[in-house]
This record gives sequence, C-alpha cells and structure tokens, in this order.
Amino acid sequence: MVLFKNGKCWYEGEYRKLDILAQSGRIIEIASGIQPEGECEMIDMDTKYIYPGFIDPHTHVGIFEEKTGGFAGNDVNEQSSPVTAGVRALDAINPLDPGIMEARNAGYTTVCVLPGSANVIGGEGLVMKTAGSVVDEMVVETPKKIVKMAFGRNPQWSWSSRKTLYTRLQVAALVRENLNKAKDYMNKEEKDYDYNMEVLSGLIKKESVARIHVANLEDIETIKRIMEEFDILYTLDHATALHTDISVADSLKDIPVILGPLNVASKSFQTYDLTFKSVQILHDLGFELSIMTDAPVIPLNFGVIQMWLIDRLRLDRKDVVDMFTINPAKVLGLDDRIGSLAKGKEADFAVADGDIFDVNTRITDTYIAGERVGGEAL
Amino acid sequence: MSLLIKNATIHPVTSKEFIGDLLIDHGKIIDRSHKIYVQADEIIDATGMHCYPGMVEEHCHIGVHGEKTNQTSDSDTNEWSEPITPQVRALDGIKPFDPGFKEAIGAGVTTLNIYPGSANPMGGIGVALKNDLSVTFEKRIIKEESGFKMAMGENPKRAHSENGKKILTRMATAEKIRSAFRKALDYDKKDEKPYDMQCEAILKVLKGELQAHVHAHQADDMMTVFRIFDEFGIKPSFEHTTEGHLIADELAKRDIKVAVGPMFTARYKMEVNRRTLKTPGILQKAGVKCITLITDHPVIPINNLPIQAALACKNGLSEDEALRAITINPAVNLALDNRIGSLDIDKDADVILTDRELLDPTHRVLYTIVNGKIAYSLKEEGLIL
Repeated sequence: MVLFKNGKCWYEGEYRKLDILAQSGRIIEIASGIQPEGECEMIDMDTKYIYPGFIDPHTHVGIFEEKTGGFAGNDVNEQSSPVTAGVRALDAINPLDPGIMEARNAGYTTVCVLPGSANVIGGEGLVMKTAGSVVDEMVVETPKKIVKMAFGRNPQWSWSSRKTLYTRLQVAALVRENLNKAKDYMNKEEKDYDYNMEVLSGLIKKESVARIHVANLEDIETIKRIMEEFDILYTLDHATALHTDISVADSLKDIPVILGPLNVASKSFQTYDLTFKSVQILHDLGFELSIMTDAPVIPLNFGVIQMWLIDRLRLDRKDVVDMFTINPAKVLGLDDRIGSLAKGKEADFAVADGDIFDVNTRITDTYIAGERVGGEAL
Repeated sequence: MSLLIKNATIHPVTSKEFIGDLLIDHGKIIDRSHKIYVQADEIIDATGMHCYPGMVEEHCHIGVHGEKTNQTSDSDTNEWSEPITPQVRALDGIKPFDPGFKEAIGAGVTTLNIYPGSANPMGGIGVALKNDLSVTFEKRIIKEESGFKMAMGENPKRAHSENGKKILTRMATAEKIRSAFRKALDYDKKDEKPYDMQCEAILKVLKGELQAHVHAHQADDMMTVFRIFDEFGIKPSFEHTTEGHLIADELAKRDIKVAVGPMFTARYKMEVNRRTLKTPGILQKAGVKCITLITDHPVIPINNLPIQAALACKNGLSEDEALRAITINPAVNLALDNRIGSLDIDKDADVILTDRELLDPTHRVLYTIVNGKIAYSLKEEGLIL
C-alpha cells in the first residue's frame, strides 16, 4: 500500500486537501485523514498538486518516432494501399521513442496511438500507458477495438500522385465498397481468412469504433451519411470545421469529438477554420470535448500549452481539465478505470508543484499504477 | 490624435515597471510617468491592465508562405530554382491580406520581419513591416532590406538534392557560399561590367551595409559559418541557433546576435534533436548580449512568441531578458531600436495592453496599438485565437 498524504487533489472538479491510498495500482480510498491498516509507504504530498494522469486520445507516438531523422522511425502511414485495415499500430510502436518519455514526464499517463491519415482505412490503433519498454505490457485493453479512418484532403493528397484516388468521391466509394465487402465476408460460411475484412467486420458488429480523421464540413457530413448507412460507431477526430455550422454540429451531439491540434498555424485549406474558439462554440452546444496534440505534431510535453490557450476563452477551468482527463477517458471507453481521482480507479497521477494553469508549474512526479515513472517536465 | 493610457502597470522593458500613465501623440510616445495631467483625444482607463511595447517578431514567413492555402500558386517562401538567389526579396512576394497579419495583431505583435525560407544557402533579402493593417501595404514597410537570409544544414541539402542535385552535402553548401562571395568581390574590382544583380546584393553584405542572418541549427554548422565569414571579414547573426548552448562561449566571445526558436516543434529533423528550452538561459549566462526569440510563423503560431519567452524564463533566462527577447532585442537585431522595442519617449507608439502579465500564457491581449492608433481591441473584435 502507498499513502499519498495530504496533496491538493483535483477531485470532482475542485481542489481538495485529501489523502489517496493506493494498492496494487489502484486507488482504494480517497478521503481526508486516512489511517491505513497494515504496512504502508507514506509519500508526503503536502506541497503538491495532484491531478489525474493526463490522457491524449489521438497521437502517433512510438510509430512516428522523433529524433530519427524521418525515415528510420516513421511507421505512421502504410502507404502501399489506401485501404490497410489489417495493419496494427501495435506492431510498429517503439516504446523508447523519446516522445513517449517526454509524455510521461509531462504527466500524460495514457495515450491512444493511431495509424496516420494518409489512408482511407489506415489500420488498428491502441491505447497504452506511457511507461515501460515492452509495448505489450503497456497496452490497455479497451472495450471496443479502434480502427483509424480518414476523409478529405489527406487521403486525396497522399494518393493523387500515385493515381489511385483523386477526389472525395473515391474516398467515400472506397469506404462503402469495403464495408459492403465486409458484410458479404461476414455472411459467407466458407472463406479464406482476410485481415482487412476481419477488422471491418468488427465495425459492422459494433465491436470496434471508427476513429475518423476529418477537417472540413463537407467531409463531416459525408461521414455522418456513410456511418449511419452502415450503423457504425464512430468519433470525429480534429473536426476542424464542425463549429462553423451549428445545425450540423447539433445533429452530431451524440458523437465524441476530439479537437486539435489547435496550437498550430493554419497552413492549408484543410485547416482553414482552425481556431481555439471552436472549443468554446462546441462546449457551449453541450459537447464533452477532448483535446489532442496529434503528437508528435505537437510533442506531448508541450500539450499543456493548449490547456493554457484554451484558458484564454475563460471557460470554467473544471471543464478545461476534463478535456484532458475524463472526457478522453470516455472516448476510449475507459472512464471506469482512468480519467479522475476516484476510488477504484487506477493510481495514475500528474503531481505538480503548483497549479497546472501557472506557466511556472512543473510536473515533478508522474505516477502510473501507483509507481513513480517520471516527472520534472518543462 | 492623442491617446492617454491611464493607470496601467507599465513595463517599458528598458527600465523597471511602474504603475502610471503613457501619453501618445502623432504616433509617438511623448510622455511616461506616474501621473500625466493633460487633455487627450482618447483615454483608456487601464486600471488593472499591463502595458508593454508591441512585440517584435524577428523571423517569420507571414505573407510569403500562403496561410490557409498551402497551394503552390500561393507559396512564395523559397525560390527553389537555384541554390544561390541573393537577388530576390521577400517584399516582392508578400500577400498583404494574408490572415497571419491579423493573427499577429491579435497576439500583440506590432513589427514583423519577414524572410525568404531556408531552402537556399543564399535565399534572398528580408523586409521589416509595421503591422498596421489600416494603411496600404507600402506604408507598412519600415525597412525595405532588413537582412540577408542564408541557410546551412539539412534544409539546403534536402531541397537541392531533390531539386536538380545541386547540393548533396554540407560541403557543397559551404562551397556555394564561398564561391558566391568570391564572385562578388571579383565583380566589385572590375571597372566595366554588365550589371549583376546577385553580386550587387552580396556586395552589400560584404561591405557591411546589410546584415547576414544565417539559418543554422547545429553547432558545427555555426562554426562553418564562422570559418567562411572570417575568410571574408564579416560577422553573421544566427537564426534558430538550436545548439547555441553547445557553443555559448564562442557566441559570446564573438558578440553574435542570436535568434532562438521555434522551440515547440516535433524533432523530425536530425538537426533539431538537441533542442532544449534551456538554450536561451545558457546563452545569457555565457554573456551573449542580444538574444531574440522567434516563432518562424507558420512553423509555430505567432501567438506563441510570449509563451516561448515564458518557458525560456522558466528554464533559466532572466525575466527581464525574456521580455527583452521579444521586444527590444529583436529591434536591436534589426537595427530598428531607435524606433521600436520599448516604451521610451520619442519611440513609435506601438503598445499593447493585457489583462494578465505577458509572460502568463493565459493572458488576453485587450488592445494592440500601432503607430498610436488602436489596431485591435478585444472588446470590439473578440478574441483572435
């Protein structure tokens, strides 16, 4: 047992001076003045702020490795075909990517790693904790499997030079074609095993969720059309232009939205509508938003800058912290395990020497499952 | 047209902050003290606000790169046709309606120095602009030729190995620079000659009329620049300076002006692998006098300029120097410190008002004043973010 004594805990949306008792990697009690029975290590947190470990629901860490000069560590897009549903991010993750180390030092304890957005159907993603040297031991099982898809400019741009795909018409056609094939595949009694079709069948059976890269409004509407046609669970990732049409946004209120990366310049038509103000507009409409870095697009140790910039909107800071903790936990179907400081949840903490909204605060210690795995970021 | 800012916490940057008033008239700061008793055409009650000089971005590509389009037709950052293009000027490629200018105003950046890109060892000439969107473009220019852009390291190598195989190694980058300098010197000696625009541009650098600003990340690239520049008796300024902390003493000894940043990018390129937020602080401790921070917008958004300063400060740069690094130091770097970069009397009235301290990244810019005119007001226009 470990007792985290008297920290200023981010608990139910406010700071409370509390003790946290952890055993076997989980929080078994959170209250003031806990008197543990039996042998217990005590860690004095009297000067510290304790936040639930931060969660990024959309990254490419480990498969798009930093400090490798590009090619050597770049396994993010399997651009041999625009439909590569059968490939898995898991098989390419290098847990020693310095981006992962910096993530845990910055208090990010859980990340979702997705294949890139060059392909229409990019492959399977996964969720993992940010500490370890064997990826299989870092993986967090999710209730639904994760399938990466991409609509709009990225697949268009990536494939037009190879004369495989020129327009959004073909992006949509490829999705429909492959989902229909998956239906046929499911209905066949005798068949050769097909990895692509197995993964897509998971979507049809709602055993998986489609995590869909999208920026422009017309693509958001196409996604809605196709996903409803096939009755598929999905999320909108980036959703750069969703805030520009309130009626479209309103019609998608049940769909999880992951915004970001927001702290980047608007370099292309795809990001024409990029603005931090989308956070305010969608939040006011009632969306429970999550914020991504798309790391390494924004390295995770700079993820907190997005929190500071969102604070310029002057939303309730509780809602802002939720966008980096419990909301992404919900997107990943893991809110019963991570995303807040609560009894029964995993003991994943970002421990800081001050308020997280203060630029001079440092994450001094990061804990995953009750063990110190890093800290001293920025 | 006079404007009186009353009761702000005034941070002149060149002297200690105080609570007081700032008086602006005819585009200039004409008074600065604890209490100013005059009639002004307009008064801003700045009680509770912080008042700073407008920030100066020493290195960005706003207007030349094509914000929100990224189309070939709109991208004028790099003149790829040859590795040596000293004759081209960023000024001639700027789209005045680029949305980046407005973002800069909303962020409180009032002077922008815009360079050509870093694909070429000699990339062309930069231009410094006042970010006053109320006047026609030509009137915004405050230095038509603000610096001579050069580049070392991976970028020229990558650009020109793909493009015609004109440079494959750092060796060729150095050779191309040496040859261009030499050619210009030979040209200068000739009495009768056909006009050579490239040589004319390079001669300005060799004669000390135009400062060379050299894109260099790695320490070895900076040392190569010293080797070449020593041969020709000139002094570089550095842009990016990512490994500056590894040769801080050399930079201090040579009294080099350095621009550091952008510091929040992914390390896709090998040459930025050793990037650290500690670099500015280490340079300051080594005695480097003029440290500037840059966003390289659109590489990172221009509103990150004060956030970089805040994080550099957190990692060893003094608070005074962090503020100077985004105001007076870039002004010195561009030799424009007689006009901009601090809230001193007789300087241009480029002023920003914020609700929290500038080095607190959660601050909001409430007013941006350029040449004495309110160019942005949060109340009128809402947040630009």
